[in-house]
Amino acid sequence: MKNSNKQIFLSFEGIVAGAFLILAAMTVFSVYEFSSAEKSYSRSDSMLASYRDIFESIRTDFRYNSLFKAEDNRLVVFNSKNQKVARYIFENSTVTRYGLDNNGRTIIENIKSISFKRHSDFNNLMLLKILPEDETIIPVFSSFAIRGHLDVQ
Amino acid sequence: MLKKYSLYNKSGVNLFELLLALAIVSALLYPMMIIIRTSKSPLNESPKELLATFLAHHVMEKIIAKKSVDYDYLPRMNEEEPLVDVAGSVLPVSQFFRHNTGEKLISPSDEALYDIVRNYKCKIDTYYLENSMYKVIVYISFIEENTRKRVFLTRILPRTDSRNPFDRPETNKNHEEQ
Repeated sequence: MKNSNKQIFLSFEGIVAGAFLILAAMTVFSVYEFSSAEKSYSRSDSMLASYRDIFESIRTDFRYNSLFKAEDNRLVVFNSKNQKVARYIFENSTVTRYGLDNNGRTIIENIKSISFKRHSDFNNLMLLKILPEDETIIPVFSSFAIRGHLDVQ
Repeated sequence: MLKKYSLYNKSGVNLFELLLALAIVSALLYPMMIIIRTSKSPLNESPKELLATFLAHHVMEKIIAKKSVDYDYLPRMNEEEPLVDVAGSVLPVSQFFRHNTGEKLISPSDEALYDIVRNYKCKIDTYYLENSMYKVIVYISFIEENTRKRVFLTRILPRTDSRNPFDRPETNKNHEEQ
């Protein structure tokens, strides 16, 4: 009986079946790994997600609008009718975005400082610098060109 | 049919069977690695990689900003350049990270940002395409875990001329940034 079991395991068919089982087990493990990756969200990951959020938000506002006004802690984006389409205001370590309807949405938290600055050589380019409170998290530098006409305020 | 190829007719394991089993397991390692690598979520983009993407975006936006005021402008190809002044380096700071006055966009007063950006470099590749188009590739490279990594963004810009650009180098020279 013992010999018979060994023969089944070591047969060509047994090896192929074993290989199939290993691959199947690896697939199940990988699916688990993929689904659990989103759950293990550290503070740093959460900050990076906020960076992406503010980046995408400003990029969209600059793509579809014409003018902007940049002050140190405040950015206002205007459309071609001179309406305030979006306002980004930094207060109490938090940046809030106010839309056309004046409803505020917290877009990023735990910020030490943020700087919205117009580029001195290009009126249509806004420089963004973000320094997080947690010094272990990477800071951000990027810029955004407004796509509308060039008579920016 | 398979019975015909059964590898044993006796008890125990012979060397051939063992080698065959090892060969199959070894062959399985490659698809296993692919499965494991595929299972890594894209959210696992490293912070340094994200900053490199933002820096590449800055370069591309500066090109677009200049192109929107000077339609003839096309960025020129250059070698890897630092983004801030690096002690001991003779390479100039990339034109995309300084003002026309020479003032740097990122200075030592930016503390943490300056310290991190010192390890990044910027390179531009350009290609003339058909139909009066011009391809720009912005590379931002950095070192992470002793590995050199690179992030790049690509954009196709319109050219004002439809002639062969190599026929008119002096015209292109006028559009180079200082």
